[in-house]
Amino acid sequence: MSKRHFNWSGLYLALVFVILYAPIVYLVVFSFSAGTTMEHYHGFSWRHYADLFGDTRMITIVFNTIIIALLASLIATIIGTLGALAIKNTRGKWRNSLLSLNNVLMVSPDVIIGASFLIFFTMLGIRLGFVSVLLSHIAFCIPIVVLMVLPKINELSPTLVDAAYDLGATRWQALSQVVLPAITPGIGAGYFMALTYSLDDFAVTFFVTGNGFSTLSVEIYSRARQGINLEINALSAIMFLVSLLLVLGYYFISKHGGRRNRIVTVKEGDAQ
Amino acid sequence: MAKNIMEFRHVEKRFDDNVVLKDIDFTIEAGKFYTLLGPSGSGKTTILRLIAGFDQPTSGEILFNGQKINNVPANQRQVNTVFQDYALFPHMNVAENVAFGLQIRGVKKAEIKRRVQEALKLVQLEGYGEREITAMSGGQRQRVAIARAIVNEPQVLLLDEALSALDHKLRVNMQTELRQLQRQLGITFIFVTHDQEEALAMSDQIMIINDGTIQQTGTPVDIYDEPLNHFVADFIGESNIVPGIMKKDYLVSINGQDFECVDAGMRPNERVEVVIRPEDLDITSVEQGQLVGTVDTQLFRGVDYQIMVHDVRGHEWKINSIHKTTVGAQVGISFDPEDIHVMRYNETEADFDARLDSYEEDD
Amino acid sequence: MRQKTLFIVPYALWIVLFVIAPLVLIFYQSFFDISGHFTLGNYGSYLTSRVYLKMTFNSVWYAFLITLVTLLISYPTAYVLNHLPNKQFWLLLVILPTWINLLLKTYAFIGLFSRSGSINQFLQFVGLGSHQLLFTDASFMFVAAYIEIPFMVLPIFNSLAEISPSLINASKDLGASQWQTFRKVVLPLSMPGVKAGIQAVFIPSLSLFMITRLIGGNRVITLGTAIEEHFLTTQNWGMGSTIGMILIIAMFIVMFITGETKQKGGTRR
Repeated sequence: MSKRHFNWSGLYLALVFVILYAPIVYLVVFSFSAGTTMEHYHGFSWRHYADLFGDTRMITIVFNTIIIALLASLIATIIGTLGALAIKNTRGKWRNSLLSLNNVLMVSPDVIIGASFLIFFTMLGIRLGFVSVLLSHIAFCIPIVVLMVLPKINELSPTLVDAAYDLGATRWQALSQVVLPAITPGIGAGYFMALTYSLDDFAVTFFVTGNGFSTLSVEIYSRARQGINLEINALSAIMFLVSLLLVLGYYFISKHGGRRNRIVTVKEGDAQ
Repeated sequence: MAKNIMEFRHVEKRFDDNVVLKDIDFTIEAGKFYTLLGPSGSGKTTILRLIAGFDQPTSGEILFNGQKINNVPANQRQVNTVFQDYALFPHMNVAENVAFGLQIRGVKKAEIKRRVQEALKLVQLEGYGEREITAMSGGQRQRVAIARAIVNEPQVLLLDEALSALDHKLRVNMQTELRQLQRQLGITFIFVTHDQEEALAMSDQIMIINDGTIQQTGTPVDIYDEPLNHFVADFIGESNIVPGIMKKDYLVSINGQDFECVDAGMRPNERVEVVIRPEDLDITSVEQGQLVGTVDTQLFRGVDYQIMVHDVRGHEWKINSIHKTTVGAQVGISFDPEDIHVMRYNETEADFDARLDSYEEDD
Repeated sequence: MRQKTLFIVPYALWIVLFVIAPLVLIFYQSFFDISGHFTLGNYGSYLTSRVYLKMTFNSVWYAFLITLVTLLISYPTAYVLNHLPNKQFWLLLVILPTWINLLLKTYAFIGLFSRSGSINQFLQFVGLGSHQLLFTDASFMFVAAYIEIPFMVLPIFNSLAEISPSLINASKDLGASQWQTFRKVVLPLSMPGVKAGIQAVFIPSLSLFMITRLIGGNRVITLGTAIEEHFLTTQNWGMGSTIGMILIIAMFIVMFITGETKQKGGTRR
């Protein structure tokens, strides 16, 4: 490889990374500014963080968001895992139709999901608020869980379940002692992805949330429409930190899980 | 005579319209090493799955200790399986894998521990209990799979292509060990393989399966020396199979030349097939040969040479010899009457046995 | 058998209630006018109104441009990444920004693009003078592309990483130059990734109403913005659903186009 070639590509990549990270860095830097605009830096200050922690409305909303995310992803993980097991047990045409239906919410634009859920809840007479937001989040998290769990189930050798029966296990024992533990990494990853989808969602929530209830994304949107508020910068710095920790956590879980739970299949000549 | 532990009566298995097994009928005696041998797709693994209880027969009966078990689920059968890919539980370590069956049955902790250790000792994996499955080599995983099955003290142990994932040297070692293990435990082993060498080396009884039917059952020596039909002769060992005519008892004509043989009980001038194993053919001088031909090719194979000769009538002969010869040389080929094995077309196993009995009694 | 059916109950319920029912409902709703009477008028007024048609055309055109820009930035990025040691780490760095709330990233651009924001300060510094950046088409497309870049890089990277190095070596061995190898081997083999990326970017670009609102102001109206407005501001759900159906149709067209060519790529097996 010529040195010149490397430099160009390196430069290009550096530029892309600058573009990707500049806005984030910019937000975080100004969260420490003593001023009130994102135009001129006015020296270091914690005042926006103090404002943030003193803002009870914001704290409540953060709390709501976390509750919704934890609950929605937990329920979605249970239903999604059962769904993945069910899909695995079906064959041929049924299996493909189930998979297509599963992916509808993955490919649909958020506005469509939000608008159609809004119609749905209104028709059922469900009051817009905590319940409608929770149900929506569960609904759009389920396909993610299925997509994370299904490959793990497919990786499982079919003989593994046979082996469990062969050794005297009942259907329930085979499921609880063999299948579920073996796909735990997938379930964990599914829960995690569901959590981040729920935490991140704006559009769907925006449609189905009423006046009395708000999540972080919706709150940021309504404040951002009113202009710059460095409290949001402080919030974004904290959220960036949390995201970083979550990513690290996710990679730790998947690496760790990957080691112990790598599926044991023997290849030709695998006898070191 | 040992007691029968398992019996198949007219068992048929279909998947949708696809007939996988046709009228399978056999008995298995307790304490013996059986091998189901056949090419892939022959139905041998299906037989194993029927015995284990993973599949149910479409018709016919499967008996275990005299009881019909067609619909007894796998988890209630006193049969355990060593799977082709071992099917070790990836989230458990070695000891947990071996203990699984005992735990399911609610055996006491202390006893589980003792029996797991015993089983690991039997397969020479003492002290490996705490290892992760991923830290074990292919050969070791194989042993764990065996330990996990035998720890439950099954009356029948099923082994599905259990050695096929191992490299050649390990496979040969495991053949000896499996045979020893079977004698030590005194239980019935049913081993499925497509590898005839494995089958010949380990088994008390071999069942050759092709196309969903049992072609021949017998000891390795019987099957090798007296194959029932073209398929068996071709599948087991190497062979020269040539058409012939049975002139009368103990005289067969091959390519218009008459040879003395040891077979009898057929119609005069019946069309037959003749099998001569390559290692039974000897290269001699032209004068001493019963057949005369020219050496076409010679391959050195380590233990012997494989020599291809075409005789003066234009027929190819495969000869395995420890002595080398020269390509292009004129040689003689000689063999004894006992080396000739005559097979009738479409003879059933029962007819074959009856015919053999009839003229062997005459002797 | 019974257990199997038990498994599927909650999941099947989800499919019926949250996948099928909402889609049916939005289709059903599109036949009602604002006062709740059955009508075909929504489709009629959509098809005859220059405003709606122009809006649809604009929306598709913007989405096309956003996708194109994203692709042009992302393909080289994925290609270069794929040649780096520790490429998984660098890929992680590309994906990391997607873990940060979309609205926060958009919000950052409000500051960056503002009349006396950093970009304008920079422009003034180099002597280009300050400009109205916020609430322009260009800024909307830039921010949308910024948001979508990781979603384009990821599938392209994956399809590039799947290409066996021996294929590249074989191509060189057969006398192809670096450029020929890229054009005739690497590019065709990475097309599934490109198509997946286009799918992942184009459809959201039609519907990202929050970026339009925050960055594009009310100048840029996309299908997504129109739906949001009809549902939440003017409360004309019938018309909103009609536009929603248009968006769904657009989505199927995109999936059909990218899916069909994917099959063509599949013949390489």
